[in-house]
Amino acid sequence: MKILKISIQTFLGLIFIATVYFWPRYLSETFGPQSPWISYCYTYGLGVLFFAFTTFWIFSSPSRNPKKRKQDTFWLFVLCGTLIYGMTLHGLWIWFAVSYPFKG
Amino acid sequence: MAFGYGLPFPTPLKVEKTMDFGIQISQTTTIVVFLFILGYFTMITLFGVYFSRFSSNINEFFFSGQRFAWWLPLISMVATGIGSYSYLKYAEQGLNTGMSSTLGYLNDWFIFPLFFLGWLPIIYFSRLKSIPEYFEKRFNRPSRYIAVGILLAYMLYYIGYNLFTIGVALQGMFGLSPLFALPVIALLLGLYVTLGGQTAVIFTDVVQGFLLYMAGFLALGCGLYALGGMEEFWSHLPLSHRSPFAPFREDPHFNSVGMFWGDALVAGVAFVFLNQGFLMRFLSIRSLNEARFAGICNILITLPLSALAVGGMGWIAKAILTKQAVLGGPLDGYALLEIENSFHTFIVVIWQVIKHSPVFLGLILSALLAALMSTIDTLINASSAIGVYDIYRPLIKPSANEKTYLRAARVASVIFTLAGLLLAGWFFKQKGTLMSIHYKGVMMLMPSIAVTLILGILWKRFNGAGAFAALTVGSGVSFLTLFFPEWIDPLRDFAYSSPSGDPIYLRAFFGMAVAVVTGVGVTFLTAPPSEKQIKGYTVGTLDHSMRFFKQGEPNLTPGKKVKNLEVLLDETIPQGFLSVSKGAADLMKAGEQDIIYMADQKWYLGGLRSGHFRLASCHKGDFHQVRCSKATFQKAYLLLNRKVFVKKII
Repeated sequence: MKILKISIQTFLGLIFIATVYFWPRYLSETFGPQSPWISYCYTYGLGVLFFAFTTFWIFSSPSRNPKKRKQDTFWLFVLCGTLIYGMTLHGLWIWFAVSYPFKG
Repeated sequence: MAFGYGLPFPTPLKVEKTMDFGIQISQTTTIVVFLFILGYFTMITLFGVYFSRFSSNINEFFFSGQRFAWWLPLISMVATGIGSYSYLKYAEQGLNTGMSSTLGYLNDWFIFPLFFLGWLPIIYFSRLKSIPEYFEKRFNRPSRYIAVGILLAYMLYYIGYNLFTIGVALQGMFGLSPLFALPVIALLLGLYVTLGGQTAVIFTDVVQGFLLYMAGFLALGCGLYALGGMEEFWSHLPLSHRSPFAPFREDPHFNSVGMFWGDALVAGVAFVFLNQGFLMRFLSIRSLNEARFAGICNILITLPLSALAVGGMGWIAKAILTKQAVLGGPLDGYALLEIENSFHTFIVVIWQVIKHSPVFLGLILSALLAALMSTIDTLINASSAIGVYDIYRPLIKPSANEKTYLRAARVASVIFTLAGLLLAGWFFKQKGTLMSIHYKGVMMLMPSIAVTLILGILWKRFNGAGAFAALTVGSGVSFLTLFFPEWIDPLRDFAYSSPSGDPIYLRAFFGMAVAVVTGVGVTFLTAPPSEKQIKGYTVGTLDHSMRFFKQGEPNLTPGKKVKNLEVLLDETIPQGFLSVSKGAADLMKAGEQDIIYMADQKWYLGGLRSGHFRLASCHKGDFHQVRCSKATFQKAYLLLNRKVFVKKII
């Protein structure tokens, strides 16, 4: 079990480092450097990975107290909700930005 | 910020530019504005003097006895978050780069699991009083004192910088010499922080938080009205100014790659995890779950509102300038808006959209002053906490009584205020780009300590030698990159950041990378820490910290709050204990020795009159009766003939 945990943590760490290198290059080629979506995808792409990595690490050392585990799981759902809220807010913001005509 | 406290200035801020606000005001307006500011200063000083009665020991002085309801520190966090320069800085940013000025407040969602599920429970349950104390308990004493050095330097720098900005603002408005104005302001600040401690800071920040929002949204409303409504505003805002994100990598001073590493990660962790003042807000809340709730409300509600309040005038300015160009002249009923120096954006635009009303200007400038002041009071209180808990108590007087420590806390507040004042004088002598110096400082100082803290929280194997190496080598190498910026180039290429310009934000990434490699490498080459050393200080050992907090097995069974209780003084109950009826204990799902929170039922007090006590055996009297000794009653600052409620904490 411990070896599995260390393997997953190492794998996630390597994925993170690889993403730091490949993700911006991939986005730049896919969207073009001027696209308003590229910064959104970069920030949330790496951000979600960081979120997943730290969450996995925290929950891979669970409490022995079942009530604390329940509390932590509740707060994890709340935190996932805030992340989705942020992604939605920023996504809608960009969508409104590009879809409304400029009068200047 | 992260939590937005680190956006760059596209246009360098020069000292010479800050000497006026770019508007001409009449003598009558000056008098009205001056009266507003005088009223504001009088109010906060009286607040401090009044709330000094709620600080009878150092726990209350620094943490308000961990007694407040979630909403009170939450509102005070608004004032802490909107610090000195926020209005000026983000309005300028909004004018230059648009709605990406909000990034600092809204780009760090992903660091919060580590904070809410890791760091906050650790520091809450371990009863740690300062961040450096964690470094000693988790690692070793040398690591603690490196952390003390880094954090004190960081906070003192901010105190000096904030005092300097107040001096500049008053000089610009009234022509007051900083030599006269700054000592007076420092005296008033020192008075209410020194007397009142954290309780005074929280309550004044609550008032200041309301004032900040009121002024920010009043100005925004006037701006939208001047433009002709929301539709006109949005359609005259260029596409480049509508995006909430910075350009991807083109601009070396403001790009998304740099913002992710520098602002969201390093400045975010620095502000949320390592800012003693901000953390003390969370630690003043009566329970961990309420502290988490306050944090979530901060992310979802107050931070987005703060981003709007401080950056909005920059966007309004850009839309007005665009509309003026379309119309070929000023907006109907308004004077022509001209911004010669973007640093003056906030004041110049407000002056236009409120149609030169002295009352509105007085209100808004009081808010500006509140923004400047509310950060310093937190920093002074937080610095003196480190001064007492990390220097005075462990090194000078390890076993003195509470009174001595409280006196030391007050002396420390005075010392840090004076040190800040001296530093402010130093700032007045500086030339050139202060904001770049500021960000260079944050990005150089904080990466190594941020990495060390994160590794310490997450990784049990991380040891004292690794922490010491990460702190010293990480900080040292980051410092050297100020002279050898080319060292960062390989990492800059790797991260696909802007290929040219001063790598301010990538310095943070570089510092983090060096600290990680050094810390992990040294840890693997040395012996692992003992179980005793990590117990309660890592995410995997939180059960222990809860037991430590309660000095017994934690009771996490959800119970109910029991209201409408009358307090009966009973000297047979030991001090620090209270007794409720069996029915009330059953409703709370509480047993003997559980920690119970008792508070005055008036919600608007927010827990000012309250305290944490242990549950004694149940009494056989009336259900609506809670019994405790007079000393316990007084410790909670309760008043006779007032209803209270009780609630189990753990």
